[in-house]
Amino acid sequence: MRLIPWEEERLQLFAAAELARRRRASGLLLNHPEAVAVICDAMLEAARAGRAYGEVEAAGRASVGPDEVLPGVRELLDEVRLEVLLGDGTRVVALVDPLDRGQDRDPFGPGALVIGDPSDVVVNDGRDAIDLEVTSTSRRRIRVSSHFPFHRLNARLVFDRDAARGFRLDIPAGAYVGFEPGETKTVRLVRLAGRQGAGPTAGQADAENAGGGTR
Amino acid sequence: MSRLSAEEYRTRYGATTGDRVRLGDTDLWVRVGEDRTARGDEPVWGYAKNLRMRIAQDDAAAGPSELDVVLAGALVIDPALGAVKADIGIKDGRIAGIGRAGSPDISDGIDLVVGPHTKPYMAYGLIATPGGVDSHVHTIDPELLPPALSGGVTTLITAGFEEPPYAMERVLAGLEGWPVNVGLQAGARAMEDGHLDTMLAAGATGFKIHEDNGAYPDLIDYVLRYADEHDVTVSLHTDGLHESAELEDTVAAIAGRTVHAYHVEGTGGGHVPDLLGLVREPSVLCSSTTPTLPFGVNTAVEHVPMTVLNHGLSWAIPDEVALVRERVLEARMAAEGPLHELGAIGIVNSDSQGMGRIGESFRRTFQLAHVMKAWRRSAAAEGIGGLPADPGADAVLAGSTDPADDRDDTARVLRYLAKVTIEPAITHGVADHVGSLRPGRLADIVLWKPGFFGVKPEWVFKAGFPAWGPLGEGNASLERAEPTRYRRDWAGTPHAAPTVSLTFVSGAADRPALARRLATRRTLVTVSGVRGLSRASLHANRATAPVDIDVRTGAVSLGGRPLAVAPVAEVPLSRRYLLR
Repeated sequence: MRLIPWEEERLQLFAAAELARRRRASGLLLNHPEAVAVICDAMLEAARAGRAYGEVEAAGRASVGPDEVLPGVRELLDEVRLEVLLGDGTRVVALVDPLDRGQDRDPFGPGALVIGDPSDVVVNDGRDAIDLEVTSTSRRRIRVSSHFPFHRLNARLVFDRDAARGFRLDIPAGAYVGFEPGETKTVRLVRLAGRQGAGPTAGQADAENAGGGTR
Repeated sequence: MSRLSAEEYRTRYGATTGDRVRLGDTDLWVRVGEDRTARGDEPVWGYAKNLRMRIAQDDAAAGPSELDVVLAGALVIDPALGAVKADIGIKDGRIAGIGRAGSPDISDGIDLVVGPHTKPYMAYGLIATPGGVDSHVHTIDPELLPPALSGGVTTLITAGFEEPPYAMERVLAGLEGWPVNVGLQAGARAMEDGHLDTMLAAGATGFKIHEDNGAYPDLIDYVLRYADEHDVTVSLHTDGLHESAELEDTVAAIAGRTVHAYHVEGTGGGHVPDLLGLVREPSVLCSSTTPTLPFGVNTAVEHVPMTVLNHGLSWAIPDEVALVRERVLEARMAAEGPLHELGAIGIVNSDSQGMGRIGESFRRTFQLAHVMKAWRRSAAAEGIGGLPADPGADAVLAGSTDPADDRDDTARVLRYLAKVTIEPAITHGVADHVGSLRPGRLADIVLWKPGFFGVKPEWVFKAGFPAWGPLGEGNASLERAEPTRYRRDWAGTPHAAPTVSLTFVSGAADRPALARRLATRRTLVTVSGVRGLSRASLHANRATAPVDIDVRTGAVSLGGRPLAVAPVAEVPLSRRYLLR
């Protein structure tokens, strides 16, 4: 057979899935590893039968129902990652919340996070803020992440760069703002904290690099 | 300023101050007491994220003092630090700080500077605890290592039977390529200085006295005197036969000196039926072992075969089976949980492969915390003095929508977490290295998804680097493709493991000579300051309990009130998670 490790791994899923199916047939509710195994096996078999990518995903979703698992397993089973062998070769499938049938997850289930203060979270409060009009002269979409030093942006974005020194977008860390080709819009910037936001000389040290240049 | 809904904030960055997180499927809820992360400047790595050159990375930080690793946004649950949302900085394998990571160029209050040589791991939404310290390990065979790591245990203190030195060398050689810290306690089997000297020279960190090798009062006295002179630990499994000593004789032999009493509930061996009387003695640091925790409806019945087959006895000899049945006493099993709740038993350890299960120390400790929370709410706990404050005991959090309801189980969780981390670390003189994530300690960190807390870790870091976890297929285009199975990560591979692992030895060992003889690449660390410890030296489980014990039945009472929890039929952190 010349089985490579990847093929042996498939057999481990099969064995777990077969055990789980036997238990399900005897009326037992599946636990987390059992449910994952059945879902994976269903997708692998759909792929083996020549189904298309979307059909493989659907086979995974259809393979275990929320009433066939122990309470709490839906909340534990937030995602399944699996590599299947389709007609055009190996492909990865990621099923998010595969036991979702339109019902809400149990807000107090295993690992639940219960929010203490339900009010909005305010970030960048109390920092200097400015509104800047920005026009994109690019033919392409440009996206700008939260903490990018604004005066260093791609030169095809036209705005008052001097005013932007020491500033960044006023959005949550890790979020971004997009500029479509030719778009003009006003964005709110906040002063960087730390050394670069410390005062009027902020950004002066690398003023020579303005305009998206590199060091 | 910018606004996020409460839900979006948690989705991006995880829990923050005042939030409560349910541990697995237990009834235990931890409340985040403090958030040290940089709100608005959270370091996030990836596409369109900020952990990049000249942004949340301080390019000028490159240099010898630069952090090696940052775990961003973890909910740290640590017996000494509490429940704190924070970034974890790591340098040279040790915790540099539990604080705020990023670049001081763009953020205020940064105490963990991320430089170009700092490897960031995203821990938002994950819980970080110290790696477990198992202080009662029988190294029967090396199959115990994968389950230990898969259960979040990163430090092993052994429990005798590794000796003689020839065998100790083999065990240490076998452990060389595994990402665990180890300290061997060698069996003290003779009142001869040369015997004990030889074992310290061979790398023993302390001694174990075990009735199957003799636990006579004069041996106890001799070994403790030797230990006081050499500053080494002694762990004790007492004389269950009463052949040489009863409880009072053992207590007299200990004579107020420090000793770690193993499986003090007695089921694992020792004075029948009243070994638990040792909880009255302040100099005796008490542990109990996994098989009786928590007390279940099948605990007693499994202990007959477990004991027969672990102690060289025979089914074919009725007298021997009778001997075992005498020591399987439900009354003292029932008292074990309440004594843990009181803090009079301070440590949970496994007794691995010798009446215990090494992969279940975390799991069973939090099952116990869950069961004892229910016990606190029952009539059985009424009127018992000395129980610690427990604001969560009467909380009904699942279902509570009252935002003013700030009751939680954090104190309980920290007390029980201490039993598998900092308490055994203090007892064995290794608390400067393991047992807590306080700065300066080894960065042996277990990351957990909250839903899987206590039963299946998300990742085990050894000295700051991934050593073990549920890894996916090696061929896959991404991490963690099914089937995910607990395996060695890079720091856990055989040649890397010794660079992230410590071997604890006594001050009597000639470390350079020992390192040469063992051909080890591990760091040999001298343990000291282990004598003179008492219950008060522990972190959170400090009680001494003046219990009364019925010497016919083993039933335990305190202040006239019976100490007993009913056996449970179902435990959390079990069926939902484990394929078996």
